[in-house]
Amino acid sequence: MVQEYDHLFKLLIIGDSGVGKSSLLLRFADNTFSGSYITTIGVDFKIRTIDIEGEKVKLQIWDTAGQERFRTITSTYYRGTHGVIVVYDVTNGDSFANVKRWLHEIEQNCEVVNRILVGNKNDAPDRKVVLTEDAQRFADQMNIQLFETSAKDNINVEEMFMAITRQVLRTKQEHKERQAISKDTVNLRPRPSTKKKKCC
Amino acid sequence: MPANLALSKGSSIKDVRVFCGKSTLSPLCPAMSGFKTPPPLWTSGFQQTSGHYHPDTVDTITHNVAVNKGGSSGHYWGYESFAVSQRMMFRKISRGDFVKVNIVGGNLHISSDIKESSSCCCILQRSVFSLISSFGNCPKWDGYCSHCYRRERERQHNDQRKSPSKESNSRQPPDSPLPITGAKRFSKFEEKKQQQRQQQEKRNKFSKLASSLRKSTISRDSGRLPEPWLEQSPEVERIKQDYATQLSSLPPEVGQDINKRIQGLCRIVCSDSNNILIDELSEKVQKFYQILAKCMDAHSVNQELKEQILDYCEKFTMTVLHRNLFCPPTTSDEEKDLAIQARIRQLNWVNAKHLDCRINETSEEVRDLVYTSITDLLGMDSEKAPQDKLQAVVKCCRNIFLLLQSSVGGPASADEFLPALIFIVLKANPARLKSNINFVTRFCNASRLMTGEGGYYFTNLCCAVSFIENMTAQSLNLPENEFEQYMSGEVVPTSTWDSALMMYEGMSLMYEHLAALDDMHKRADTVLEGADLLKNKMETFVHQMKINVDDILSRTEVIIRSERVPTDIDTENPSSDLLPPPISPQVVAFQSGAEILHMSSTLEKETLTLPGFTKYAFPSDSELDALGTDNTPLDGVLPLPMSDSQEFLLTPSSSYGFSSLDELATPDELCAAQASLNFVQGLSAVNYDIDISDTIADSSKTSSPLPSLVLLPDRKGCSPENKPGVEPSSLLDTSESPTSKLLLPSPIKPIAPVPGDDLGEGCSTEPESSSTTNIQNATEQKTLEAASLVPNSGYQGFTAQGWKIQSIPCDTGTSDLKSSQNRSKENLGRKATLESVDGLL
Repeated sequence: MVQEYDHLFKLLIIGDSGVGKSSLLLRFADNTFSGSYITTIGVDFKIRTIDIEGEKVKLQIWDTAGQERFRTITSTYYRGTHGVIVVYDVTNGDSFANVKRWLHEIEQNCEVVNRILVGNKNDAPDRKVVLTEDAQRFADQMNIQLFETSAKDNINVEEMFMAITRQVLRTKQEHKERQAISKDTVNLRPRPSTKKKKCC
Repeated sequence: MPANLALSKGSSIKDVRVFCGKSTLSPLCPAMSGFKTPPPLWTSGFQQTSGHYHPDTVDTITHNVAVNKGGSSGHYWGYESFAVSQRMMFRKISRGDFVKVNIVGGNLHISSDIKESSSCCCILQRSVFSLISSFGNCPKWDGYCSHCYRRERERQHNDQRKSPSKESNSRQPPDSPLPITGAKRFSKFEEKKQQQRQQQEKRNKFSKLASSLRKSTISRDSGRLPEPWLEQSPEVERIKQDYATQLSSLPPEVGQDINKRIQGLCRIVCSDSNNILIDELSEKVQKFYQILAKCMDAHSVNQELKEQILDYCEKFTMTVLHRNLFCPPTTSDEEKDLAIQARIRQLNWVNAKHLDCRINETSEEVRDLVYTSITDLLGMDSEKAPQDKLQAVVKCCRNIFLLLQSSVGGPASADEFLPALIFIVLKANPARLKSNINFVTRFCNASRLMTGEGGYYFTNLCCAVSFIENMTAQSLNLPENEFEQYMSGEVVPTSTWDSALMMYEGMSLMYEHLAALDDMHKRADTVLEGADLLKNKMETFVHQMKINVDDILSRTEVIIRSERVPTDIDTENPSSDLLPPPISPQVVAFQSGAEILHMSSTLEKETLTLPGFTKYAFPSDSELDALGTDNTPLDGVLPLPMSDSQEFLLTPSSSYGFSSLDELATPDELCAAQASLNFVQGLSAVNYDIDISDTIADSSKTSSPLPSLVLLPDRKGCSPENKPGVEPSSLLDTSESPTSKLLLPSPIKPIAPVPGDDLGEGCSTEPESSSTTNIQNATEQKTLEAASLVPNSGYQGFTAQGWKIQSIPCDTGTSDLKSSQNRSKENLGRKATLESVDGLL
């Protein structure tokens, strides 16, 4: 069976408008390109294949509109999402304050999903408003991993995406294991194999 | 073009149908909902259309069909109707013609907007468009529109009737699928759908045949191929052909397996589409996809091939089953479609600004892209397979990104994309939007929909639709009442897309002009540059020439100087003689002036008996000695003692001379003037005379030099020797005697004060001449006085006696000179004596 990737994950980037979601995506998808990706007509949708722990993971990253007015209608984005990247702007306190709302929205739309908190624009210490300690405390409280990145200076972007991918991968593997234990869902797997036997 | 009437000539006509959008409209539908007030011809039209489908009655459409758009302002003929509103389509129809009215974007219309009529006056006299019409009512639906058909069907279900209506049966041609024509393409799905439905209705009847003939249009012709749905549509055939290579590359057993599965699915769907819930159907289809994928996995089919085969399966089954699965009567999709359509129409006032999306509406490129994306989005409805619909959305969205790129000037992000997409959806108002979205959601391969570009854009489209559905004043950042007003149509915002379009025409014209101007600017610049260049060249040339000339001059210096010498000699004489001569001539002049003055003074004294005159005359001419008795404060007197030096004396003396001359001239005037002034004073008690005298004195002192200087050279020119002798005397004689004699009696005197004007002596001298002439020509006087004198107006009161003068309008000083000059010329003509005076002046 020839397959260009072992896993295909859909990641969602959410956050207030102007926090740098698109630039994060652009940085990650285009900076170190390794795999097929859509040409840069827009930065809303990107594909990149990365290697994690020896497995090829194809990431599809969806950018979303962060405007307040679209907040209520974004539920459709969450369908089939494996991981969500919540972005705030370290130079903008409001965007950090809104993180809670975003997290709440994720909870409402997805049952189990991996999340990661990202403080973007971490490249101008003098303009930094959201202290790392505060953000870290909040992240611990919500049990989320925190990354402070700069899409502009390419700080931590790669690491952040790797981290969320790893999370998603781990979750998937755990899920698989759980599935293996409970026998209901195993149905699909054996069937083709039996057919295979029949055919061959 | 928003609407087109297509005729396919010569085809064996079975019916005349009108298509709107991609669907067919039946003239038979009794309800034709959306038709609020049926036109008077409606009933008859309906009756006639009943026979209309009969091939024999086709010639009842004898002449032509006209389509025109009416409607009040605020209705649009599709998104690009702006320029073509009120356009009428007119086509002649002859027997055997196949008529198709295809109105793109016509779903924006309410039924009353578009009317269509045929010359036989009633057959097509009805609204082409009803809101329902966009869902495709076709004759096969028993001649009903979808709406009515559903109602009818429900009724039938309730009545446990099996066939929809006899009428329809009889009307339907025996071979129900029409020969495939251009129109067929549009109606195909609706037909199929409808056929399918009919077939479903008659399922019980033909239950035994169902298993083999399920896809066929069993209803009327049972002699169909066992699996007619495979041959039914050329499109299906095409799909088969398109994927022929892939299919053939499959292992035969896999191919068979797939075919079997596809047929199985079709059978299931066709048999149950009206009985089971759409969600269950969707589940079945999704399962089918999964099974197919697994099947191929099991046969270790190449991943790429697998994708292609899956694609084929999806396309094939969905195309075949489109009529069953798309907007099935069991769902409320149609209502939702209507709702969103109405909603979008209600929101036609929303513009890019409301959505904060940065679409540069005036740029032609952007505008074109907007239209392209709108067309792409509209194209979604015409596709059958979910992936094709998805592809249409992707195309639309890519264009949106392109237009955002050119509007924003960089890669656009989702923050900009979603508003733009909403804008496009609002402007496109795609037909059967909800149905399409639901169809894709239900029957598109889920793995495809969840991921990938198509999935992303489709999700965004869903978001946009959901935003439109839930749009509130808040989401547009508008005040509640304003939003309500817009929604109710009370107020139309000024800057809608359409008005932007309207402006666009002007704008584009303006830009054209600007471009032309720019071009002209450039050309002018180049011309100027060239001119500069030329100028520089010329300058350098001149410079060069100068240098050359200088060079030559320096070389040929001697010769030239020798030439110059003779000319110098002339100048040398005066220059060398200058020291002595200037003095002497000046002295002479002065003396002569003095003499003249003396003469004049004496003359004046002799002639003039008025005391005022002596005052004026004496100080000037004879200096202190002459005048010992000065009653009035004479300004002229004071400088005189100071001016001892010749030079100094020159001007003052000249001025005095002049003033004296004035007085020479004026004596008559003055005496007259004073007499008149006396009159004036007596009459109006105005102190004009005093003022005038002062001004005269002042002017003579300060600003007079010009005339005085003029006088001097003149006198010089006149030859100093002569002055004392002939000229002055003549002058005096002429001026004095006649004037004094005549002036005294003549009431015209008021002019005399005139010389006192600021203009100075130049003027003052003329008045005297004028005064002299006055005697002869009163009319001339009029002009003179009128032209020259401001005081005149003041004196009019006085001159009221002389009615002629009175009528003369006063003018400003500038014209005085001219007129006075003219006058002086006239005077010259009259009196030789006066000529001399003028000559002096």
